[in-house]
Amino acid sequence: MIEAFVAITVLLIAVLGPLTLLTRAINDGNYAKNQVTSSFLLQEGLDLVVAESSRLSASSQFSSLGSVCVYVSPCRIFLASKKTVTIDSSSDFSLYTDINGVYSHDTSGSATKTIFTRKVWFEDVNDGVVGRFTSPTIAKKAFVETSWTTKGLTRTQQSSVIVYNSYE
Amino acid sequence: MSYSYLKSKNNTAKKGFTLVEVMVSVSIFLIVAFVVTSVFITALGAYRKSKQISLLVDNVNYAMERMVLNLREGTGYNITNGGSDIAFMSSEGISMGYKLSGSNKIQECKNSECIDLTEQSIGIEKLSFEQSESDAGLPPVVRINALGKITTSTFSTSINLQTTVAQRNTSQ
Repeated sequence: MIEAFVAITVLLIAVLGPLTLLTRAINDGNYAKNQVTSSFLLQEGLDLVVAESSRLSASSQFSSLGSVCVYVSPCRIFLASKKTVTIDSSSDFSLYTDINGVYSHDTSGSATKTIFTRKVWFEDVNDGVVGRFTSPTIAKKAFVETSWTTKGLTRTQQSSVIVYNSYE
Repeated sequence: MSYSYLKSKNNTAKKGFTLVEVMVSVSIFLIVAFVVTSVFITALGAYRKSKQISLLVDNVNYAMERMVLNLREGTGYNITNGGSDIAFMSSEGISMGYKLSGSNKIQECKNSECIDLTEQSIGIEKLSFEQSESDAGLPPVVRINALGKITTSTFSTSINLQTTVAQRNTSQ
């Protein structure tokens, strides 16, 4: 009886072990796929911040860059109509794809909701002079966060960039 | 003597397996063999699937990374062919470009010599470039979107990558 149990146990481990590992490999492959997608969307957010900061800096409006977007109340960031980088407050941070597979926050038409979300917020970087009542904002630190949810698990990626007020 | 011999012979004849025992053992063997074979086939399929996903992600990721790095440092973006081709000047002053080839691969061109960035088995179903309008006050911004797909007889998966590049090179 014991011999039979041992034999069956060994057989089960030998069979189910590799199968479990391979199932895990598929899940990891899908995780890598979503992670790569998310990291490029994250990069997109950072580059849009860089582009917008350059525009605002050139027009002496640097301080208005994401002025309402803070950690507790983040914003969305996207390129609207190929013309303007829009940074706005919203409660829906989901990214949608249009019929061409282009990711955006646009929900009109046949937009399809994806598993990805993206948000952005800013922190002022001052000149650090002690005793100055209001230090001028010489730079801003932008944080971009993307996340995705699959099988009830939410994964998050975050990155930041410091943009300078180059025309001050 | 002869009785003892007969008794011994009878005992020997009783050793071995009965037909029922043989049938049961063969049945168990067949069941185990069937289960092991099924698991092996499933495992093989899972291995192939995982390898294909990995191959797809690696290929499209690599191509996107190259495009992002070179476009970010490049200047003079010129998008043609309905948005699937882009030409620009690299930071080293070389005429470069990226395009979707007729055989659905992403190609990198330097001085009109093009090489494939993605493998034969990867089908790039869409590659599109879109640039911000020049009067927008923004530095040149290019959005890149690539849809890669890999298909086998039993499995198909795709990846849709998108990013946007703001030009860092201010020499032009």
